[in-house]
Amino acid sequence: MKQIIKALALITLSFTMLSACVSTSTPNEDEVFTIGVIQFVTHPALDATLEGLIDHLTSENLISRFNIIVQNAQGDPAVAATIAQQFVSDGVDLIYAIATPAAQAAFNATTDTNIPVVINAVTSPVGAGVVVSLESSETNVTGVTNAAPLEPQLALVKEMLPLAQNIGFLFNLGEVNGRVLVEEAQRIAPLLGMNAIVIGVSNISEVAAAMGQLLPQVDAVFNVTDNLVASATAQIVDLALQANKPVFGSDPNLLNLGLVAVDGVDFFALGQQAGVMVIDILLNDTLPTDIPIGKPTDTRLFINEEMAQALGITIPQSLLDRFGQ
Amino acid sequence: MNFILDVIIQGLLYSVLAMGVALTFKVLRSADLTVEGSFPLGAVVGAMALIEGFPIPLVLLLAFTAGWLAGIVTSWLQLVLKIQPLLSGILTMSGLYTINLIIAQNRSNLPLFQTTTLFTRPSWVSIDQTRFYHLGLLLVIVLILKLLIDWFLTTKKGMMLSVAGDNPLLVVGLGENLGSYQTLGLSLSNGIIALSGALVVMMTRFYDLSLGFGMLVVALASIVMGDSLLKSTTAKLTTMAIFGSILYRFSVASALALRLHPSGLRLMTVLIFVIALVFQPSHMQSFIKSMKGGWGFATSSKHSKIISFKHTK
Repeated sequence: MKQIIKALALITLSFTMLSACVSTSTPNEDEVFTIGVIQFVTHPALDATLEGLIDHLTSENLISRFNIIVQNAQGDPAVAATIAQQFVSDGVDLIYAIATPAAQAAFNATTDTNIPVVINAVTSPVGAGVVVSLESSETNVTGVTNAAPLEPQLALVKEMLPLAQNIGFLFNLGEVNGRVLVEEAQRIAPLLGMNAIVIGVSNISEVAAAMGQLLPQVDAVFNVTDNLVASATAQIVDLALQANKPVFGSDPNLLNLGLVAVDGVDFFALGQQAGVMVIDILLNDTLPTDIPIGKPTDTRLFINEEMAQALGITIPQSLLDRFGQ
Repeated sequence: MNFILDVIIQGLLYSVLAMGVALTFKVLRSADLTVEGSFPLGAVVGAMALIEGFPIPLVLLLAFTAGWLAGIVTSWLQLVLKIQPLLSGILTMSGLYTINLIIAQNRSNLPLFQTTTLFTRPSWVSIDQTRFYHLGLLLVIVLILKLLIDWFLTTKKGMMLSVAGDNPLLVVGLGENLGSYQTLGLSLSNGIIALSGALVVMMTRFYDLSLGFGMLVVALASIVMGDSLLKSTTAKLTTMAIFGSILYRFSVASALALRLHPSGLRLMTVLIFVIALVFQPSHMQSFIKSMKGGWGFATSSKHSKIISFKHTK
């Protein structure tokens, strides 16, 4: 019985603290909007989408109009669901959901409510089931996808290594995004006069053996954006360097691990794009369904000159010109 | 008010998982790691069955059966191949990772927003009543399951299951087949765990491969918290699991509501677990022993020291 009383006391206490946290605002010119942020997991790219959003709101001098509450699900879909449910219960004005499971949790929790959801870093919003089409969601969801076209990224490889014939791709058999990108690469590479040689692994411990098979057959390696490959980047670069082969990629955050060049998605810019949507929805009363899903407008070029020099690659003038812009 | 309702709904939802794990942890007295694979197995089987448009009872039955089979695999590894219990669970769990991918046709994420699930609000329920509808539905499901488990543990088979956990030699002494009871316990437990996975996926309306991650700790924390809360009462182990699960979800929800630093969440779960364990000395010992493999089935010779017949509530 004592325990039950203790538990009840605890519940009452936290409840009081909770109600103190939730502030009710009165609608006027300076109305402050509450944005609940669900970030699925901590990751440099995902962090950048939040920083980009805050940067845009700040640069528009509107940051004082928003109360931003950030919650992280630590990679657990069940926690993402709980966070979303709490945001709905607290009556936030908008949910900003970063990564696919966070977007799905937010979409599910806002069923039967008018709370708009702005998503980001979701590779396939239609595939995730949160929008009907990229042009018009027909739901309370809009946002930005991070699906970048692979073609310019492979074109970069050709531009830096005009003699390259075979490009090696390592991917995780257990991840949908890696598989999709590799299939895309096999389709696009021949158009650029190259062959894509792919090899799948199911575990990070198999990377060394897979690279051992791959490296003798290829002129360069391309790092796809799947989580396993991203985690193994340092090892992949190390093994490739021993064979004197460059590694390209599409995630700028991995450049300092030894990628030669990246023509990739700038997640900070994706966050800024989402910031425009947030202002549109909350301040201009635009419905999410009327805002088409944003795509990466332009990729950003990054070159690791030190690494290029070490591998004896001369950076073509055309790239240096682009870099200067 | 909504905060408390949400906590109870989440707690009831995951109490099915806690009851399933309690069957191995408290009745068979062994920590079965199969749960980390059988929970997402139930979720993916449930999700695929929903996408195929199967009726809800069939969806739940398929999930239960899939979990049951996973339990049989684990017990087969233990009993026939004589692999250590802890390792058997880990092997099944790892194998299920691939199986779950195959079932989902190599997808790691399945949205269910277009399908009607058990928790889809029928037209006669107004939007404001959705929470109460979910609460009522879950109360009925959890209560039925609890009563079924309680009843099963009073049958001869259920009694023998408890004996198999407390004093395996006594089972042999009574002329019964010890292995068949261990198989029964593991398959029943994993069947219920998979059923829980299917229920969770119907509530969250999306499946993700990462769903099973850390589920054993969640379930054990719930069980141990329930024990600490109700240890001075005559509550049954299912009741303890249900209240423990609600208390656990309350802790998680409070941590989130109090805006704890995100990286603190996992650590806090472990902290709650440790505190609850410290208040429950007898289980701490049995847990440590089970982790060492000392309570395992394949090493039953170590039980020779236990003479008295101790029966759990």
